[in-house]
Amino acid sequence: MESKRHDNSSDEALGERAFPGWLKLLVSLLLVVHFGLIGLTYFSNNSLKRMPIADQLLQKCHPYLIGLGWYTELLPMSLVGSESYDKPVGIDYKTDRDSRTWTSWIESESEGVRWKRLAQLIGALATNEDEEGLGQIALSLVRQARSSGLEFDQIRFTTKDPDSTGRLKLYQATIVPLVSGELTLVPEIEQTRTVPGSRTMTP
Amino acid sequence: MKRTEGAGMAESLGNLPRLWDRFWFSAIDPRAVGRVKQSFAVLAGLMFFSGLFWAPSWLAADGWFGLQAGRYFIGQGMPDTGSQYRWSVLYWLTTSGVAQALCVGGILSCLAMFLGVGGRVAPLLAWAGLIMLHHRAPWLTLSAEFLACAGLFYLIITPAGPGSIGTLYWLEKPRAHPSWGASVLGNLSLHCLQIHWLLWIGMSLASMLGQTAWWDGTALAVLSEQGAGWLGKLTRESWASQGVGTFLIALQFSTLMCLSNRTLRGLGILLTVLLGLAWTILASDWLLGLTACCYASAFAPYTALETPEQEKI
Repeated sequence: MESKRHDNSSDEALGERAFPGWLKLLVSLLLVVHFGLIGLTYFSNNSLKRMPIADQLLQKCHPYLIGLGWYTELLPMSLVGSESYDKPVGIDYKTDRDSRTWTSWIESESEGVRWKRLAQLIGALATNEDEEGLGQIALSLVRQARSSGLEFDQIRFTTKDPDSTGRLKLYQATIVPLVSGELTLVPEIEQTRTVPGSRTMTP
Repeated sequence: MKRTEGAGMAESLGNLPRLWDRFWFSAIDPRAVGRVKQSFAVLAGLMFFSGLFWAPSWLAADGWFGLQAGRYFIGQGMPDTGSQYRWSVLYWLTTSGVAQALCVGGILSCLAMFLGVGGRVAPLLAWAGLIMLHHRAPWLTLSAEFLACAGLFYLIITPAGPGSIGTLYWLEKPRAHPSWGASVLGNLSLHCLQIHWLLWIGMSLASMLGQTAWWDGTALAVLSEQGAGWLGKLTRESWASQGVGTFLIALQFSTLMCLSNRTLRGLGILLTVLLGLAWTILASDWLLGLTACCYASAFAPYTALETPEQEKI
């Protein structure tokens, strides 16, 4: 924004000395490319489905976009990303596999912004049924708990059911220590009916 | 002689290169950039200070978001994820002490940036520190941190030397000698900040307009359910949720329109500050609110340069 200018030509002459014509052209091209890529990145964040050509262009420009921190693929452009995964998440644990009592450990709505971001990530993974991703987060939390002296046997992620006062289970796993001392998680598999009904044939 | 519409159109198009040249390559009073630099130094300094309380416990090898999870979620080992371009010292030195040291280093570089010492090195170090925190855990990065990184990057463009001195600059009357006072790079830096902010506001608004949650009040209710915001629990589709959601859309739209119009630029600055306040109240995101104020400072008017002849009078 320009306010009062006593002499426009003086400022332009100063600019000319600082920037010769060829340099201005080069900088102008860089500006157009840079802000074009930024705009495309932000636009791709908004779109439900990316244009294939946009996807290819963004991938080719990964060294620039990711390396210099312009890539916002993982960030919702508005305060609320998606109702399907922007929900508070609770993390519970059991110290005894045979116990029926879950102990509430972390409630994202009572915690800071990083926990809220982690809750968004957990919600997104649960929506996309990415058990491996959920397992990575759970394992990370379990390791941190163990380093703080808290050892538990099972961990689960839940969210509030909007239609009732209950909670929906997003993920549950049992912690299994390996011989090497490392930990691994065995996710709980949902029980399904696998035996088909029988049919009798009349001769 | 009557001027035809075609001639007017041709003249208008012919003016574009000159307008482009004036917008990007004219010289401005460097004090305007110094002011913006100071505001971003405060912002980034606060980010690094708050980082002292979360980065060591979250980003250590066995932190809440441990190294294995961190590598998994950047897609390491998977094709076309760009994971190889995510650089951070926290991937190799994985103790909580390193995360603390990174934050302390960031605070010191922000202090140098605020005081106007260290030239381009200070904003470069602050930017590098924030980027390394972001690259270690992109999923945990906040919108404010993305925007702060962008702002710091643009401020690296501004030249070193007396024209970019922060605090000390305000104590001196600017000399109008062109070789010292003029700063084309400062102009580039300032306008990059402006364009980036306009892009962000515009795309964020497009995102909001594309989600029915912002129109029927669900978005505000979802925020309140997450424990965010100062308005307490809001019910979905209530009058309060719908009203506030619509107000936020209108405010963001008005901010974008006013900032894009030179005549209404002053109002746009006020609306940007109001928008920052709204984000703080509705989402408890005071960092994003402060970021809005920092970008607003990039739109503030700057004083004209005096020519050498006027200085002699």
